[in-house]
Amino acid sequence: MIQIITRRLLMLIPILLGVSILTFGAMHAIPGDLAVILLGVERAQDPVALENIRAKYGLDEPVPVQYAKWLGNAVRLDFGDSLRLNVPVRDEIMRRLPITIQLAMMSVVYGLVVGGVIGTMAAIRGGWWGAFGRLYNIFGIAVPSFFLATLLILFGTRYVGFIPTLEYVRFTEDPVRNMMLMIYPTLSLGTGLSAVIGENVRSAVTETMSLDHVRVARSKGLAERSVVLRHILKNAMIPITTVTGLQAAFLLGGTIIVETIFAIPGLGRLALSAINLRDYPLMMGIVLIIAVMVVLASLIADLLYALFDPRIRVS
Amino acid sequence: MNPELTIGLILLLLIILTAIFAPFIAWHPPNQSLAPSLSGPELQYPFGTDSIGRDVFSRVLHGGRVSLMVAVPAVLLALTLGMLLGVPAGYLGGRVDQFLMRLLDIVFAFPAILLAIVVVSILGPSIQNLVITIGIIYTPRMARIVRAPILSVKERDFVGASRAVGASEFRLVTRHVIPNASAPVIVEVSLALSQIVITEAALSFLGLGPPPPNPSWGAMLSDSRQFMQIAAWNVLAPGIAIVIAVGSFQLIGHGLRRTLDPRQRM
Repeated sequence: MIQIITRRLLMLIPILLGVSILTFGAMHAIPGDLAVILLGVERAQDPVALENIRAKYGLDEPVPVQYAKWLGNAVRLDFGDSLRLNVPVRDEIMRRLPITIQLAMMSVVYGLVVGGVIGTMAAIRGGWWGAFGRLYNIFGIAVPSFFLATLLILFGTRYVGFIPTLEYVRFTEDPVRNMMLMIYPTLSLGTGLSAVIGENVRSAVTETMSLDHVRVARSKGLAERSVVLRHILKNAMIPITTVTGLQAAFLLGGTIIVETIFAIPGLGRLALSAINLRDYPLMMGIVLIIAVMVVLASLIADLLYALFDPRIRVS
Repeated sequence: MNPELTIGLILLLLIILTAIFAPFIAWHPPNQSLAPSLSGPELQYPFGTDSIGRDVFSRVLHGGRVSLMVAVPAVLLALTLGMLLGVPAGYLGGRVDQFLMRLLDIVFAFPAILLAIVVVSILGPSIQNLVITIGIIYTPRMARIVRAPILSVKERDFVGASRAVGASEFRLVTRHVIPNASAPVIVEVSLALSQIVITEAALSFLGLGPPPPNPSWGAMLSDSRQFMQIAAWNVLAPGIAIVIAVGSFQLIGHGLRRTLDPRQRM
């Protein structure tokens, strides 16, 4: 197991380097003088500030040196100052990150529960459940998060008065109200995920049901309930872990739209406003952080996979 | 033919026909203010009118044109680039494969919608830029899907047999390996189309879609959200259009997968 973890951690290095090179390259692809881009036109009027930023990122030196300096700063989470907010990019990201992680985690839990139940029932019951499961898994993906969010606001404000929309209270201020106002965003973001998970649970459970050990469990007289829980679902968990890990990018991308619609001050909404306002230091910081989070999520999924699957754990 | 595939194809045909014949089906032009704003559905305006008095029915039909004009070329671009990367990776294997797949892993770390927003905001929104951006973003997925079946097909006996009778490597790949590895790729093209329709709609929802006055489902939805409590049809019509378009490609993808892959049949 330790060997697997070390090998997987070593594989992180080239991917993270590649991610950083891509982000660095994108920054250089922006037309214009990089010092002015990083400082903003206003502050670039000050020759001292201009000189400082050139020295900090080695902008007069060859590109590999620039990359090394930029990476050195990025590793310490130093992305410079946000052009519009006049605070260090790191501080703003750290302030917003927990909100996005909360939304993403709630959506994953929702997706796993709903997808798990619908997928399992569709596979073991068949008939009406089977048809409903298939339909849900197809149209759950087909309803985009922004349309679902719009529908929830439209009908929610009309018929479900007690769930607040378009306001934000921090979890630390008022946990109950915070969870209440996260309901619609979680539904908007989690429904697509639940359909993806549901479809994978359905096919994984269908496949597992015909395996020998399940037939043995049934024939030795185990209750149906424990056959499903102990012998079918436990095995089906393995592919589901991987699928959920692979959805991290989709989920974090989705927070951009959902947070913008529901006015949740998380990283996704910050990303969109940074892009719209051409706040490049902020934008690069967020892009890099999101990519690192996706990579870490797939690492965790892989490790869980190894944990669930004894064949990998032992060898 | 299974029901998923049948329903999916019928819906797709409906969308394609209404998109192509939009100017003949809708009796009002899509971009002209003709009526009082935000009037409800009636015979003259089946889906009502929008905030500046344009016919929503006509705009939804024409919006399908824009959506397909982005999605179809984008998926073809992604497929072409994906084959250029995926075929050599799968067929040559070894270091080439390792290198290309690690390269794709890096791109997968960035959410598609985030990449699309960044690139489109730098290039500027136009139909052409949307096609290029979305096409490139979906390339890694295509490359991976193209590569997987090639890995196993190239080991099959009939490939070895034609090599033994002296077929060139080029002929082996184009005549024997690619055609026999195409089933999962066809499924993926259909599923990718559904994702691309959503991506295009999401970009236009965020104001990064085809520039106005082009009617686009995502932009129609976001423009009319502020009036939705008095004119719900304005958000429902384009929203349902997106669901039908995405759903049809999903149905076709799932249906094809069940038809082509015997393991999925129950």
